[in-house]
Amino acid sequence: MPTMRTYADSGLYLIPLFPLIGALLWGLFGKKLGRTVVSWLAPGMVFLAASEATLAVLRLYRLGLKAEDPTFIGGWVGARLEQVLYTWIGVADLNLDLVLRVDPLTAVMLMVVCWVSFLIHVYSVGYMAHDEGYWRYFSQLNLFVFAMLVLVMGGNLPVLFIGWEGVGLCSYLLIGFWYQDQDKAQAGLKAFVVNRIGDLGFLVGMFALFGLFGTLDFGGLESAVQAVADVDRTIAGGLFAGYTVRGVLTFACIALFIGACGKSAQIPLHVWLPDAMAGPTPVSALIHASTMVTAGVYLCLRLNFLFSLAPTAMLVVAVVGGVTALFAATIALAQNDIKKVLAYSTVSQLGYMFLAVGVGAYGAAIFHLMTHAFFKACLFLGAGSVIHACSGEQDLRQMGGLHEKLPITFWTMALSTLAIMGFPLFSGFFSKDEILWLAFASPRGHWLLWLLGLLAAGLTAFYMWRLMLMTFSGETRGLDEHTRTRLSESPLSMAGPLLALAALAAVGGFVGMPAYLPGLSEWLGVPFVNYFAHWLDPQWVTAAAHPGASDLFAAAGGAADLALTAHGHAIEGGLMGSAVAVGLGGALLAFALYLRQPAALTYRVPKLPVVGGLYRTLLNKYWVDEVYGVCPVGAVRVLARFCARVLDDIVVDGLVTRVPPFMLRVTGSAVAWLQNGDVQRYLSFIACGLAILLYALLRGGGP
Amino acid sequence: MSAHDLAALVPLVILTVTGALCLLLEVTGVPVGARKLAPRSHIVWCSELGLAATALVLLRLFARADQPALAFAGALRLDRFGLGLGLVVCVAAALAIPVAVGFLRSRDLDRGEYYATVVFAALGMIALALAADLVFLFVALETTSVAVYILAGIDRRSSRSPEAALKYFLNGAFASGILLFGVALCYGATRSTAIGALGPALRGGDGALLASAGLLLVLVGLGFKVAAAPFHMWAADAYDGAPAPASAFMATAVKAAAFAALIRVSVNAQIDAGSGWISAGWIIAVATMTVGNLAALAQRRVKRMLAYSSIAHAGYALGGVVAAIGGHTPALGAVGFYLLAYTLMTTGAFGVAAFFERADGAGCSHDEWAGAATRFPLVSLAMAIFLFSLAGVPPTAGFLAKLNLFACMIDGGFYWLAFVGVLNSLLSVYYYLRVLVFMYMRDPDPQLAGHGGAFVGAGLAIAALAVLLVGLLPGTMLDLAAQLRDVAPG
Repeated sequence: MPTMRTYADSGLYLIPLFPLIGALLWGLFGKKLGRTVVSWLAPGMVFLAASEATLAVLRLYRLGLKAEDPTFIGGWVGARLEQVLYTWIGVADLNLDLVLRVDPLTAVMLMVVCWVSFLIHVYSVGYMAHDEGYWRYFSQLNLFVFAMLVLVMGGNLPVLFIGWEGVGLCSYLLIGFWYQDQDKAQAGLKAFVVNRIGDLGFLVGMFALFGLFGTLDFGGLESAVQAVADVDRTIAGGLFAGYTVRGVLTFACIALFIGACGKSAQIPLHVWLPDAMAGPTPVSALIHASTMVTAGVYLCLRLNFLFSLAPTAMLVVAVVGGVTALFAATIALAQNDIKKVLAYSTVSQLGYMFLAVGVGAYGAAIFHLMTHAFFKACLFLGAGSVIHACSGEQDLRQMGGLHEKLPITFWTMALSTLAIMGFPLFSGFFSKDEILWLAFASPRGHWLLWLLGLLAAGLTAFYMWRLMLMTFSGETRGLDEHTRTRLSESPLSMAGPLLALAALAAVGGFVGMPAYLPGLSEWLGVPFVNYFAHWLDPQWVTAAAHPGASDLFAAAGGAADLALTAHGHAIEGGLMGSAVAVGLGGALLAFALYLRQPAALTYRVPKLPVVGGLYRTLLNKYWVDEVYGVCPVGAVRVLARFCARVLDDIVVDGLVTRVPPFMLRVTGSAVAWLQNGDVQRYLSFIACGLAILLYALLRGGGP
Repeated sequence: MSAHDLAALVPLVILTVTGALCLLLEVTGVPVGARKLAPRSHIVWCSELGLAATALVLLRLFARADQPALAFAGALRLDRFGLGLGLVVCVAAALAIPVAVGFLRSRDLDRGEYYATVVFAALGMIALALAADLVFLFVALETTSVAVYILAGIDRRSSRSPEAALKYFLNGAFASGILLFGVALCYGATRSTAIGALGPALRGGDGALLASAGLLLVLVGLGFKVAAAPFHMWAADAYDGAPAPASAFMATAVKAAAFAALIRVSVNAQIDAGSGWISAGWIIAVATMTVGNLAALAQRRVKRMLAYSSIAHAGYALGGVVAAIGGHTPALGAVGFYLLAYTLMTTGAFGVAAFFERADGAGCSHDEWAGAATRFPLVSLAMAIFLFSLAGVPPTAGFLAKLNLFACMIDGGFYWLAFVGVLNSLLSVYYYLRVLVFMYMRDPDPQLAGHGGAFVGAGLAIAALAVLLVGLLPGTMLDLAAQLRDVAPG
């Protein structure tokens, strides 16, 4: 298969431009424009961006078909749209363009980011209607969309990094949106600081790649990788002399993955995401569930041709992903805050995506990224609707019996819960199933990785139904009288996005139906194609064709479609069945324990002997925050105190308070003597200077 | 007259006509259509339009000048280096005019003469940047100098302005004498006044020593204009004593044009990379930046601090010139870029000083600026941008210009020069940020007043935005600057 061709496209800048204009307008003039204008135009700007993005994807589709066979099944070879906006820096060997690029991978991200953002903007109009910082909120939300679009469209690592930091900034601002609340401001700070650790990894990885290949452009990196025939060759000279290309790549990929861990909240940098729930709920849905936190996965996929050549790095990714998936799912079992459950669920689902990346199932990773964006955004918005109705109450133990009062919220959340638990034919079923299957069957997979994913799937079904049952079934438990009487369904602006996302969560998975679904091809009478995977196939061509990644792709006959591995369909059917069974088992257990008395268990369990201890461990999130509080944070505090008390107070302040006044006195009096305003003195200095120079000239006989 | 002569003439004629128009408009009074405008706004617009037209012509010539050409029998050389620095002069003049308006009105100096003088000075400077003949160079320099002496002394009723002008004039006359004597020696050695003739004469033969002495005197004369140590002492008194808007123009445009001439002469002399000229050059560069910075540390007046700061910046630029003379051609572009960045931020900073300056130089000290941020938040923000840029903090133009310049020194093999430059620029952070400490962290002084207005606001805003824009998106500017390399034939 040929690699994708690049076409110039002059309209790409419009996609991020609209949200940027919006952010500036609401930020500068929001108050003057008034709520009505902002309510219409803030989602409107995102709608324009989404429309432009859709048009760009259609252009991409048209250009990506072979001329002799313009059908999707037969002739799709992919393409890239590119727009160079500005030559940012072009000094010596560092050539940086501000360049936007759209290829099949970006296209998927664009569709998810733009349209989910649009729905959440609409939802926010209702949710934030009574907030004082209405304009500030929409300014920052528009700015976030802009930064996210720069992130996914950036054609080289530095531009991607601008977006990466931009979304981090917006995340910080929006987590601490209600900044008068000390805890919420603190949560924003925590997110920011933890992400800095990851960003250090990102930068180190970026520098390593530049040192190795001398370019940071994605296309340039791809060609550079293609030019390296033997990745185990030892590098002769330069920065990495003595190391093999594969070794340096492994280093760079792990460093970049640390960056991805920070942004996508993977162990050990997952601690910020649950705290980030301090922000408004639509923000949690948009930034901390469906878009920004997936940026780490996107980064790995964008650089798949590098990861494919570094099996060790991929193993690290897979293990971290798999462990995070299970670890976060266990914590979610015991949380009582509706948003905290969903937050840990997000961490767990992101773990699945990294698991997929780590075993080389790139298509499955982005597929799960997309379906997760649908159902998790829906779940968060549903939770927001519940919280809205309950006047800000977030404790599951206080809720209950809401399904009659909030029917739309209940049914949309129920559909999404079916999707996330992997109930057959719902979107999460297809994507999660593909990940589990490839974790088992990929040449870089392992049955242990599969087992981690499978256990997490069972736990997912359990904690999600626990959440649903505690929220919606039984009697209303807490909530004061006033709130109870006023319980009602949210306005249309909030219900509409819920319905749209629930529909996507339900049927969105069909675009990625596996080609080998038992009996399907026979029933249709034609060979069935996984459309989603087929769309993305051109993206993995570079990696698949590279001899250094032959172990990963050889089983697929050099083709990128990993689904054709040697294990055969019987095993796949069996794995699919076991995943469904485990999911149903988890769900049934939840029904058995929570359907009758949804909240009783949470009060009874802590008193049980062994289970109680386990429960407390989970409730306290394995005390990770406490451990971090002692080890890195405490140590840094001690160091900071040392710096402040000893270095700063004694050394620096001593120097600053004693030396400069002395220096200033000396220079001051010297200047005052030299520059006394006397013209004769000035002229004599000129004459002296000239005389010295002339003397040097004549003595040297012509210098 | 050849096509090149005509081309060289166009910008000079435009400026002459513009200056004359400014004077005429002062005499004829306000045209009917402009009655509603503030008095003399039309003169400001007239001078700005003239400068804009000149800049456009220079840009056009710049685009076409891939082959340098001599005009007027070798008096002028149309090359990208000269044209580029001519553009910097236009930028300096175009920014210095609007930031002056508020101050001039408050002192009842808002007359056509001021604007005409600025335009005539710019005319001399552009001629100076293009000069390829020593006599023409001298005439251009005197045109510039006389205009600038007038600007320095324009506030006749103040006690400081005439003193500054007189000191500037006395020192300047001395330096002009030195330069003219050098020109005479050069003519004696080469029997030609062409700058290009210096190189061969220095190579050897009877007149080599004579030519060397002549070259030295010419360079000293020009070194005076860029305020290189030890010929810098006039600068502090002149920039501090002159009205702040005039200082804004003097400290930037004069420097850019004088640097152009200095570079043209020294590069044409084709000095050996290992010779004593280079050592003398970098000693002077180091002395200039260090003296400027040390003196700036102790200042209690913002304006005087800026005067010393401009000496320090001349030192950094001189370091780049030394690298260029030492054979590292990209340094020429780096110096050009540096002068542009320096022009933007220094015009802006002096512009803010002009905003606050009152009669007899009052309103320009740190103490008087205390708490300015609460009373004048936007002007203070602009000042913060200028000061951060002067200190070389990213993402400003000043940072990038310094980075580029020091990188060139290192590439050219002048490690110590770059090292001392970096140390000096660290030192400078102290006195730049000290101003911000006063502006942002002290209780406001109720006495503080400013003269705003649309022109002043626009001038400061454009300068501040340009500082940020060049810092954030430097690509185009760096590309243009990289083309400033053809100073000498061959």
